[in-house]
Amino acid sequence: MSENESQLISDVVLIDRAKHGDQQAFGVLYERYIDQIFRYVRARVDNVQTAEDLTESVFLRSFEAIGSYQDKGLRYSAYLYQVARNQVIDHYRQAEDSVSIELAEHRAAMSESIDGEIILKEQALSLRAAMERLPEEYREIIRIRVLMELSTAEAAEWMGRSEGAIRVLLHRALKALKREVRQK
Amino acid sequence: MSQEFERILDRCLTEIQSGEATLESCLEAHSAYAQALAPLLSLAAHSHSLLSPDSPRPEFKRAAIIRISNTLKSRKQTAKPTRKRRSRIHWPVLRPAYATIALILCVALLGSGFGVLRASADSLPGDRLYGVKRASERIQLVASLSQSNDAALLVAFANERLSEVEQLLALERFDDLEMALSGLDSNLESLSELDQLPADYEPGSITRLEEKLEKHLKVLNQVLEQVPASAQPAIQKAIERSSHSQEVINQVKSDDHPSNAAPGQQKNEEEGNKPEDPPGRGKGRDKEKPEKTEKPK
Repeated sequence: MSENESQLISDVVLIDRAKHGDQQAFGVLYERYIDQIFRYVRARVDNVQTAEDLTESVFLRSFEAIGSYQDKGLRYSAYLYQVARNQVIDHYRQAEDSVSIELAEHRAAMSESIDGEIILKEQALSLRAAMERLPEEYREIIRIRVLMELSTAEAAEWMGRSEGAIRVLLHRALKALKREVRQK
Repeated sequence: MSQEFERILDRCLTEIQSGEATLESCLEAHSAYAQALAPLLSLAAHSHSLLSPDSPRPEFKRAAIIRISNTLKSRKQTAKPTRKRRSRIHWPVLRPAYATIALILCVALLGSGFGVLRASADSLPGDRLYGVKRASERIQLVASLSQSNDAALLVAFANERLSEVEQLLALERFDDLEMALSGLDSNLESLSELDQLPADYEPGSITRLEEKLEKHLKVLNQVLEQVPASAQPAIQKAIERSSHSQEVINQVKSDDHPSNAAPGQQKNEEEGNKPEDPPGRGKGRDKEKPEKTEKPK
């Protein structure tokens, strides 16, 4: 399967092939979505190694369960997103102190940076802190639509909402973030 | 008003993200909403520049898919077969067919052998079933009835060895590289020893193999600089093996090898064979073989 050919094949066809044991189909699905899923996990986890472990686990679990996957007319990324979301939630549930460890690592890294980088990192940290104070669904839409730059249609599939609802949510989330940033 | 604003905010964000518009051009195009749009779009751009997550490392992407694939394969192999529902057919009906049942049992026993063979297909040097995999390749070569088939098998096996090298590198199993590369070497040696390659043999496959080998040599040289000192001798040996394999490929591609004769040319040569030539033996056997390259120890 050439690169051009693989780009043209729909998720439904690839999933069907993967269900019949076609290793190449798994490879194409992986290549198609690894960047998106990793970036989503990375947006939620500060540590690169943790993000890599969780991402690998998302694909392994999803491919293992591909036999029972039911097509609902959505992109496969919407399904991978659900698995990734659950993986991240489980990760934080299992290691409740990991957030503080990761923040500590973040701060340690900051202390080694040069001045310009410190300013940027401080800005990032304060923006992140403002985001942390938002309700989860606001944080999620900002991650998906603003940080990862997913289209409105794809964000709607991932979050299981209509495109109209996504637009409303984005507007409210950005307004709330603006308020939080100003309060700080 | 609110719905309209939400639509414009969404469209502006999309256009800025795709580079079709800038913040200024958006505000200019929607001047009625500019005051409300500006802080939200600026905040979105600022958040993206500070908090946008990185893409995965290429090494991680390569290694992860191999690990996932190997895990899936190994789980598939160890998965227990589902218990079949007991037949509702009464035994007396089958009595006259005992001979058939015995035959089916024999086929099933043979089938378990094929199961092992199939399971061994994904094994790597150092794995328990790797010996079975290599033995099955030897059997295929023995059972092959034509040199055309021999050549196709040898190129396929050489490709398999290179794929094993790739997986071993990703898994950082440097000690097992030697086995895969010596297998590659011996596959290529056998290929160079063939008297003639068939007229319908695809010459591109040798070139592809050569390209692949060149790529692997580059990777091995990069790996050599990164691995701990204890793993370096194995990589060094693998590089020597690969270099030797490259020389053998050049030998296969050299003008002396009958495979490089155009189909018509080969036919003419065959027509010129002396009547006393034994049947089934190509003229290439009379030719002096190109000098073999020395194998690395």
